Amino acid sequence: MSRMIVVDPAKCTNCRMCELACSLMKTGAFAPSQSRIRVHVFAEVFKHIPLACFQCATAPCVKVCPAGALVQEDGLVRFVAEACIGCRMCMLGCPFGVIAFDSAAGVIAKCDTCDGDPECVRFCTPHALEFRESELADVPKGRDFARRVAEAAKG
Amino acid sequence: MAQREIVIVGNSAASLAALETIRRGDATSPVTLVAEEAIPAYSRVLLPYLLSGERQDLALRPPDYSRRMHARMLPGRRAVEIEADALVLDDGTRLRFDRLLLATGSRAAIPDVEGIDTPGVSPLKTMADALRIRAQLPGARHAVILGGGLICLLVVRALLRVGLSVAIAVSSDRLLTRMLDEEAAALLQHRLAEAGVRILTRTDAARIVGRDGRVRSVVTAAGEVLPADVVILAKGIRADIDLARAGGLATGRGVLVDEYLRTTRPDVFAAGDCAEAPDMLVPGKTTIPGTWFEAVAQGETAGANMLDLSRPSPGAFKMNVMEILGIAVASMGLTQAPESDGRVVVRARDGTYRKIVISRDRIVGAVLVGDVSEAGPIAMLIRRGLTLSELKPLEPSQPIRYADLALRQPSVLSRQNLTNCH
Repeated sequence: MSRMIVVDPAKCTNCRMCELACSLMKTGAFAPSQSRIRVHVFAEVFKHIPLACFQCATAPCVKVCPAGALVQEDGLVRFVAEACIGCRMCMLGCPFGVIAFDSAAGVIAKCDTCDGDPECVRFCTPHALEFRESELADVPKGRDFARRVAEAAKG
Repeated sequence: MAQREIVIVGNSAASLAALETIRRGDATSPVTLVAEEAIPAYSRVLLPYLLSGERQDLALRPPDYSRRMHARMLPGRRAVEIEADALVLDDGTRLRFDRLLLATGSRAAIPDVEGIDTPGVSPLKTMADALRIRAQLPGARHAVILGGGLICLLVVRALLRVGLSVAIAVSSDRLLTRMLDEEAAALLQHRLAEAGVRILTRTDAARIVGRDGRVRSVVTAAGEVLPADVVILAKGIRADIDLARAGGLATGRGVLVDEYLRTTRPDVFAAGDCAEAPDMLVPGKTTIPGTWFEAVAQGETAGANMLDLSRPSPGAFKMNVMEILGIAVASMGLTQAPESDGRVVVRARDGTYRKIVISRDRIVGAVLVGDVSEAGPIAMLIRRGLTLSELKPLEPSQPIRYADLALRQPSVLSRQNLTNCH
């Protein structure tokens, strides 16, 4: 069982510290647009949902990458920047839309869990983000996410 | 599980996806993969990068792949006949099969033009093509590309990178007619022109002129002489259906398959560029998407059905994404609204373009230029065929984000087949 970033939308306060922490860690600047985790706001139900790569067990992005730049390894979908040609096929394949593009580098940008110590989680004071083993790691993670979102919307 | 003898013809996106799907469900049945090219599987998408020198190694899988996959590889062999229970190869070998997959891909269309055999004139479809063109590049100054499809644009990028001047001659009125609408194509052509690329529309090559054993120029139908040290043929592809025909399978433009990727013979399947499958978006029609993405998806579906998992595909539709000179472009499904009952939602500003095509309350297509971050969620929506009202209702003028869909319709993910690649 692998550890993953587990989101509890009910606890998210939309403070966006995760986006700042991630972009600082990954790009050296406070640039939310370059963050690998993004908070989606749903004004009509007063909800905020942080979303990053689910590290799918059978990942569509890995399957469609024509350049060998995405590989499945130790429960992670690992990104090999040197192999990426910037074609964005993975962005077409990922139904969650969690793969970003780094226009400066000409390659994609995605969550790598900061090698097992995700910066976004460290800075999430309301504890909406946790990095832990998930009993749901074996089922499609998006499905779990959808359930959480539905619960959050009700609550 | 009962053992089946499985034979796969082809060694690219569809075949590898099928092989890997088969191995996820069946670790032990003997699988043999026959490939015409005598080299390990490589990424055709990367061929332009071989031209530009940005990539040397195009291998799609690690060197120990066949051992890991428990598969016997027969590279450099051509399959010539399909018998009742065996595939016959060009050296006379008979491979017995219970399940056969044809993933023979496609060949470059070669226009019937005087001088087409002149050295320095080539399509860019295989590794051999790429190496041949690369050998012509030292000292070359001018390139002409005939045809304006996806390959054309990938080649433009590579040729500009190595410092050639590039002219594109297309018979249609714009580039990428299959992938983009007029507005999106105009944006792209503007960017190419800025980069110094000359685009001649409604123009065909009348003659290719060589001297001293290599190409010198292309003469257009209008009589204009375009200097050319290298000519790339990008006039599209034709499904390779020779083997299917020899085996008596029904063919049209491609090998005809049903929603299970099954041909007219129940133990023979086809996937990828050679397969002509039901069109998901135009009922009653068939399509050959001819894209890497769909080849992977079809390979997976065929692989599952070769194990009798009875997994229907929702049908095929074309879907592609690329970047040219810093502009990202994505196209999915229909790029124009069906006349009878369609509408479009368009937003164009600051060099970006977003068009969502809707028919019968469903999103059936999209064209995105500049920002393609919505491409994945939109592609999923098209494939799932959810109506906008089911999505409580979804307003297509707003950005389409996954979390939004999950919030509006949690069942978006509660069913199987979240994506085609799964």
